[in-house]
Amino acid sequence: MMTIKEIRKRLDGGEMSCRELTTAYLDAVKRDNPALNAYILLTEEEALRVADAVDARRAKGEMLSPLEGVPFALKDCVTTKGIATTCASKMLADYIPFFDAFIWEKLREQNAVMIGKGNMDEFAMGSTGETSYFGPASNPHNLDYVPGGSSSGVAAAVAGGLAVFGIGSDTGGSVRIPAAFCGLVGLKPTYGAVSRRGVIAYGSSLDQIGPIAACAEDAALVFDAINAKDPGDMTSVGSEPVTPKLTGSVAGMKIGMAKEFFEVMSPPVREAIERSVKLFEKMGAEIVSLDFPMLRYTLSTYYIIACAEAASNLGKFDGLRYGYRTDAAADLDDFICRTRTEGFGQEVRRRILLGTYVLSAGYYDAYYNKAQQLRRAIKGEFAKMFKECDLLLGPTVATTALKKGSGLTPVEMYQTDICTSSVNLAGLPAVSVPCGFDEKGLPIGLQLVGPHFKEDRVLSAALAFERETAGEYLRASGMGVKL
Amino acid sequence: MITHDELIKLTRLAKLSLDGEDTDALVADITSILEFANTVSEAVVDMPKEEDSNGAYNLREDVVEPSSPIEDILLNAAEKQDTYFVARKKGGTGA
Repeated sequence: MMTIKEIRKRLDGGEMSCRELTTAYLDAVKRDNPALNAYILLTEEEALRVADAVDARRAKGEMLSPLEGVPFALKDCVTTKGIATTCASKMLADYIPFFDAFIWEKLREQNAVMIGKGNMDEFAMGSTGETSYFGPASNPHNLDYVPGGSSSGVAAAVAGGLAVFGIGSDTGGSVRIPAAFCGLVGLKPTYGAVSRRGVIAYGSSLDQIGPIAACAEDAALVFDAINAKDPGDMTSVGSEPVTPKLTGSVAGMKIGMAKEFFEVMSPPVREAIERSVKLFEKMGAEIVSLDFPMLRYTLSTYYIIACAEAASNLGKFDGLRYGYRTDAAADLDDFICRTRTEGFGQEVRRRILLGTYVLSAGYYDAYYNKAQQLRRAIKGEFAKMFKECDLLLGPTVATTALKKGSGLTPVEMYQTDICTSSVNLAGLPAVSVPCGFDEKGLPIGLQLVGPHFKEDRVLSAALAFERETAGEYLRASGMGVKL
Repeated sequence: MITHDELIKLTRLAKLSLDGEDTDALVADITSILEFANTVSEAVVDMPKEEDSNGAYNLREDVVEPSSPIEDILLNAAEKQDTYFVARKKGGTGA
C-alpha cells in the first residue's frame, strides 16, 4: 500500500510519470483482480487519458492539486457519465448514466485517476460484500474471508494495492466496516458534508459518501477534495477543509466510552480496544465512562428506517425507462413485478418487503413512526454524551472479518452494523482506524465518533493513534502494485 | 409472525412476484426480521412522531432550467419509438 504523500513525492519529484504510475496500477489490477474481485469495471482508457493530461500539466510546470495523478477506486453506486454504473445489480448491469455525480465532478476537477468501479453489495445492502450480482470481493489479508461491505471492492482494492484511495458510501457502516476488516482508515463524514447528487440512493436520510485510505492524512486530503456545498443536493451544506486543522494530538481531550459496547465485542476485539484506550490515556487523553442505553434499539431502528427508505427509493426500477426488463409478462402489472423480481437479488427483495411492510397502513405507527421517535431519542443520547466528552471511542465491528459463505441468517448479518448504525441515525462523523489483528492475522478497527462537522477532531485523534503506534497496524497485504 | 396470505399481499404491494421463491423460507425470514424489528415496541420514548430527515433542507431558487435532451433520457431504454418509451401492455408485445 502506498500513501498519497508517497505518490506525490514520486510524481512531483519526477521519479516517474503519471502514465508509468497508472500503467503499473492497471497491470496490477489485471494480475490480481481475478483473485480479489475488487473491481467490477476497469476504466483503462479514462485512467490513461487523465494520466497523460497530468503529465502534460507537469511538463508545463503547472501547480498540481493534492490528488492530481493519484490512482483511486470509485464505488459503483456513484454515477459516471458514459461509464457503466451498476450498483452491483442485475437491474443496472447495462446502465450507462448520462450525467455525473457531484463527487465524481470534484475528483475529475482534481485530475485524480480513476482505475475502475469498485464491487459492492447490491444497492449497498449488505455488510460482507457477498450480495453483489458480480460475486463477492475477497479480503486481501486472507482471500477466504470477506472484505466487509457494502463498499467491499473499494476497500479490497486499497488494501490489495490496486488503488491508493477509494470512495465508498456509508448508510449504516458501509465505509467503516470494510475499512476495519481490511486494516484501513474509513471516514464517514457528517450528513450533509458531502453531496449525494448522483449517488444511487439506498436510505436517503442516512447515506453519506466517504473516503477509504491507508492513513488518516490521506482520508483528510480526499475528504477535502469532495467536501463542498452543492446546490443540486438540498441536504448539502459542505464544511471547512480539515487538512490544515489536523493536530495529531489528543492531549487534554475527553474521550468517552459507552460500556454497552463492551457487551457485544468478541475477545480479540475487546483486547485490542482496551489496549488502544491505554494508548490514548498515555497520549494525554482523559477517558470518561458513559452510558448509551439506547444502543439496544439502534439496529432495529436503523433497519426499519433504512428499509422503508429503500422500498421508496427502489420503487423507480420498473424496467420501463432504463434497467433490466423481463422478456415476457401477461400485462403491465405482471411486467413490472417480474422485472423487479428478476432484476433484484434476494437481499434487496427482502429489504424492499420489510420496508413496504413497515410503511403499510396497519403497521406504520407501530414500526416506522416508532423508529422515528427512537431516532430522535438516539440523537438526544449522543448530544448528552457530547456534553461530557469531545469524542466517543469504541469498536467499529464487534468481530473481525467473517469467512466467505459463512451462511449467516439475515438477522445475524444485520448484527454486523451494531456499532456503526447509530452514527448514521444521528448524522455524526466517525472514523475507523486500524488498532490490531486477531489470531488469524485479520485486522481490527477502532471507531472514533465526533460531534457534527468535527471531522478534524476525529481525524486528528486517528492521526495521533497512528503516530503513537508508528503505523504498526497498517500491514501490507503483499498484493498489488510494487513500485 | 407473517402468514402466507400476508406475504402474498405484501409482495403485491411491493411490486414483486413470488414466482420461483421458496415461500416457506421467505415467510420464516420475514418473520424473524420482524421479530428483530419488534424490539422498537419495547422502548418507552417521549418524542415527537414527525419524520426526522437528519438535517435542514436547503431549497434552491425555483428557476426554470432546460430539461435533459430526449436522446439522453432515452439512452438506456430497452424499447423506444420516436421520442417515447415503449411499455408492454399484454403478452410480451409492444404497446
